[in-house]
Amino acid sequence: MLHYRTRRRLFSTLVLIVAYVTLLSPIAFVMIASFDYGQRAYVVFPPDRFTLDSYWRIPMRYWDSLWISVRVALLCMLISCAIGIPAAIGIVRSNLPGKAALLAVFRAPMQIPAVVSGVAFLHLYYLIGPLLGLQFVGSFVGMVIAHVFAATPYVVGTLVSVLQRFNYELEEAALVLGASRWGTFRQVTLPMLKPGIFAGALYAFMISFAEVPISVFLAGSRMVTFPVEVFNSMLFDFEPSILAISSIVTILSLTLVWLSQWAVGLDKFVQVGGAD
Amino acid sequence: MSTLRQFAATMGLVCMVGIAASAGSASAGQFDGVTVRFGTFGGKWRDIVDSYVTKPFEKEGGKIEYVLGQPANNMAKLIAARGQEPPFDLLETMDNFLPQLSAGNFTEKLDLTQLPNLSQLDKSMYDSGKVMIWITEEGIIYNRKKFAEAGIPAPKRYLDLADPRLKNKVSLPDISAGGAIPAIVGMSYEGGGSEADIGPGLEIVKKIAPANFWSSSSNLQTLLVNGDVWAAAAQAGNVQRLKDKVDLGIVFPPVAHGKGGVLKQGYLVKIKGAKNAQAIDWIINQFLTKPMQVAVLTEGGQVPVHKGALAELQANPEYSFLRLSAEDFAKMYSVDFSKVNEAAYVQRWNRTIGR
Repeated sequence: MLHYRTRRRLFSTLVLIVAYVTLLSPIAFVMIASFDYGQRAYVVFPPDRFTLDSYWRIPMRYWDSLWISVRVALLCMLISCAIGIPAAIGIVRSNLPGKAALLAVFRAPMQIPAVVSGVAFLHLYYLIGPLLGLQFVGSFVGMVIAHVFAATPYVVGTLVSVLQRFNYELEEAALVLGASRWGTFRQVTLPMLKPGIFAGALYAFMISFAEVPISVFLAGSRMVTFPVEVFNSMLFDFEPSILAISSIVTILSLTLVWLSQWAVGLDKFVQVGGAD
Repeated sequence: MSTLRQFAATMGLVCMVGIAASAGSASAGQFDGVTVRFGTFGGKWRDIVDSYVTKPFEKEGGKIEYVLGQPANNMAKLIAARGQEPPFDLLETMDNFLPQLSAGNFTEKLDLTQLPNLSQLDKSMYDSGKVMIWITEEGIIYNRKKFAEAGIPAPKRYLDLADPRLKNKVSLPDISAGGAIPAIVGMSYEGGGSEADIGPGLEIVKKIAPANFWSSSSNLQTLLVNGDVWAAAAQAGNVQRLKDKVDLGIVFPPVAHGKGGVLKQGYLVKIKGAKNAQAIDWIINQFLTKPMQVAVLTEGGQVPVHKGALAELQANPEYSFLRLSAEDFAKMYSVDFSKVNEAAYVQRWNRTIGR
């Protein structure tokens, strides 16, 4: 009979292996299947042959839409942080009445089904567009605004979690020792919030990059994000190059995560705990 | 002097060639600077349109910008834009959206005199408001090899899919899929109902108890290739698309009025408020050229409407599973959308079938 600790370790390892396989097998499936080409209507797994044809034949429209998605996601991330960081600080640290209600308002977009948000933005843009003399539907700005609506709650939620566990005594110590309010914020508060800000920014980028239900309604002839391009292709017919471009996006994402670990340290995200 | 004469003659010749060349190039770009926004499907269909419509249009100096999406999504955009500039100039839609387009006054009349290729269509396929460009033939597709191995006879009607030997091997279209209404109407007539009464059809769905409900062609095709699904209510184009991988057969169950199988039709409509009417007419006409119409089947898996294309494809034994003549189309049922209430269908589906 194995020792209790050995049994517990074996069980934990088994759970971890099952979790990894469950999470990673769809990605592995897509990447392996991307090396088969020639069949237009269905996925071939395991591949009948290994070829890079589906990579060489990726249509330009996927690269164009990928670039659009990256730009939209980057701008969405910046704006969401610009709104979410002060909002989170204000909600946690202020003495405003109805803070819980204010937090609920900031989190409301997470409760609304995305397709409902998409239709709402579509109608809103056609309502205010003529009044402002601007075209929002099918535009970069319109897409970013809608994505910011969807992504900001994740920034706010992440930072509220961090701020609620924040050790204020460190700030008080800095002030007592003669630091100015701005100096305290810059040298004490901000460094301690950095992991939370980074996590919130990463969430905002991911939410925007992967967004489909809202983007489907706001896409135009020159504004199609990558997930919408893939979605529209898959609805009509399967195309092997979708697997190839998806594999490339996966590798780029993993590279980004590795760079984040190297630059900031991902273990700090685990401590943060994410949005609750 | 002779040198001067030669020089003058040469210059004259150069000038004449230059004038001729510039005159030729002036007539080639009749749509210079014209951009038409076209609401259509993505994927392979867009590639087909690119090859046979967009590139010729670009040779005329024009440009087509695609507003990609399912007809339902594009319809939502059109409704939201009511009273303002529409999101596209030309829309590819399906038969079930025509009543909505008409009721909402979203379309403009076509100048049929500008569409000479209409002479290749049956008169029932177009009018001043719309032009049919493809058809799908909806029935029951089944894996002939699996059926033979299991000793199951080929299905003749939808209720045959309730065979216990087909348990967990049947797929039906989800209510959101393009093939849903033809299947529901077909099953409703089989059960003694109609477009106005789909209850019997939904009872047949419950009796069949499918393993899953397919929501897109690619999703269904993967299930058929993997052998997870042996039979499905779907369109005949799946037989064409999977011919190298799965031996599929298709049957067109009896529906109503002595007709079997259900037709689903795709149309082009000009959107009200669209600019560049001449360019739009040119594009519609280009959709009706024989090469494009042949490609509708050979590359897209849908049935063309062009008489010459149909005759050419009918002579090809590879397409013997399809009905490729006006006489054959007349034997298939077209849904009466004046009796269809899609919102009610969805509600009834959710209550009866549910998840």
